[in-house]
Amino acid sequence: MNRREFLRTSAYSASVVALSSLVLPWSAYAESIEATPLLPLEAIWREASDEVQQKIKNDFDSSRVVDLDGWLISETEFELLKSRGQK
Amino acid sequence: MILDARNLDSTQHTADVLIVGSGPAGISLATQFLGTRQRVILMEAGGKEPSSEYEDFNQGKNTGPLFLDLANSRRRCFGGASKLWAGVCRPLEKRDFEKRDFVPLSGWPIQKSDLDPYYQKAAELLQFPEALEKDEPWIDRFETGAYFPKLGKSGSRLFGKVFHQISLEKRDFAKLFEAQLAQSQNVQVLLHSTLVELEMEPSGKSVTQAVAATLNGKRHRIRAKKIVLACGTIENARILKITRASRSKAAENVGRYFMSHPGFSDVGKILSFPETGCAKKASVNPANEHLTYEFQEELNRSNKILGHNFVLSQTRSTIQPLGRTILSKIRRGDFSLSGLSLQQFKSSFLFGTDEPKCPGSDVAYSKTWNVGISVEQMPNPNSRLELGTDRDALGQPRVSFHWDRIPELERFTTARAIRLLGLELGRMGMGRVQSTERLLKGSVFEISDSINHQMGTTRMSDSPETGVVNRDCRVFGIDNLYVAGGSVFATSGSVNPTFTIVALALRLADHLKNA
Repeated sequence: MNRREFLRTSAYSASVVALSSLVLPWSAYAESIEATPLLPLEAIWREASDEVQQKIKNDFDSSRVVDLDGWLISETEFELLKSRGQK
Repeated sequence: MILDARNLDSTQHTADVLIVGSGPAGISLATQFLGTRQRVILMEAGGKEPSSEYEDFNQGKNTGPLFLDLANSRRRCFGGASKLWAGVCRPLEKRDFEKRDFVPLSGWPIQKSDLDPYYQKAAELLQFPEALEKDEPWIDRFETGAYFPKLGKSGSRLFGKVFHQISLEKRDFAKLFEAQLAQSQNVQVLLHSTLVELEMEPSGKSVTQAVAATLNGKRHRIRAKKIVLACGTIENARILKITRASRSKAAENVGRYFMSHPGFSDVGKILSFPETGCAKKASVNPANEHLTYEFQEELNRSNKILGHNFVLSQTRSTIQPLGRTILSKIRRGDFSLSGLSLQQFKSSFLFGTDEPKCPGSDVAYSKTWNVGISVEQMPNPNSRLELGTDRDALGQPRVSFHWDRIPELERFTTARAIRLLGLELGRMGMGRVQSTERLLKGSVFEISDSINHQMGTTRMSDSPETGVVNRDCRVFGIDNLYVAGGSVFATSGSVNPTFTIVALALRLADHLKNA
């Protein structure tokens, strides 16, 4: 399982929420990180066209943002995360 | 001339100016009288070097929710707190002297322009190598500046604040100025003499003489035209309380409004994007300079936040090795939580364990950064010192110190500044910011102060209703009693205070010479 596949499962959100409960499949998670360290936010940014990157920047400029597990992300990014099944 | 009060036959002294305390404020002040016609006594409670018999006088009780190390954050000897000083210098900002509607009791009776000539003079006294306040050219010399090249530059809502650090051998004021003071004909240093009493005229409007005690039982009496308390923020207020010199409305303010610069670590994480997370060149931080960031003043005011300093540090070298260790333990099946916090876990795993490369090159980039922040403290009457019931070796009451919990405005400033940092990095396409769990839960604010920027217990004001000294650092209601040091700060700003303490002392010297 690579990281992206891992993230597509519900385990990612569970991992963020439930590290303290130690119910994670640790070894699987660790291996997936080692294989592909790219985080969802990085992936969205890297894969975004110039136009989408500008839209994201504009979101931040006008405070169109969402708080996701403490991360401040733009509304556009939030929608993209949702469409990827990562939120 | 440097004398030991324990061994002097004569116990009657006269002077034009008596300076009580030989820390950065007292010595800076004394240097301005060298070679003048004024006779100055610089009185120091301790000896030439720190010793336990005198450091014991600094003991006291903490009664508040926040802890200040009263004994170890001060020095009772020639040179005073300069023996502990990190040597970091930067002037206060212009806004620090101005009134801000959302900061109660903000605004000094003086402006920064009143102090600017003395900052320059202080830089000369302390032998600064560079001109003051030329921030932007310095930024690229820092690792952080190289990794975040747009921050602090034109178009950024943040500005970079460069702090000069004086080299170790030039920080100790005693060593710097001992020879000049020892050779002086008109400035006399009187060691081992602790001020225990200020005798007042019946009207209470002037001090007639100061009484100092030695640990071998002598009592010296010093008649001086002008007296300056320069014993540090805690001791200045303690002396005013012990001697009951201040009898006006201002007496109620003595000891109140204590401020420091609480530092909150691990308040945020930055995920930097490769396009910005790659240093253009290998950067080595300048040896004697430090870089922090703060939002521009317009943004601070519109968001109603206090002054602050962001410190950005790479996690690559610290957290990721930890992650690798954890991974290896997981593989071996001997993984345990003991000794590791949940926060460390989350940092490690959320940010990965490798060292990514910059696009198109083999240069590693720092993908994740920790964000720490130090925040200006607002004047808070509940942060205060009183006289306790315990007594020191000379029978004087020790300090009972109450440092109030971090106020809402400072908590708000921290959280808001992290959010603004997220907006700024997002707006500029540089990365994303996370508020940490410690910040969101508020546990980050349960601190003990290790910064030791002590300010505000005899604050400067235009009115005895809200302060203890006036714009000339003279105690309200007393014609010839002055205060020098961090205790006169009306607000704390967000820079290290010693440089301003020196500048204020030099300004006071001019006033005393001309008064």
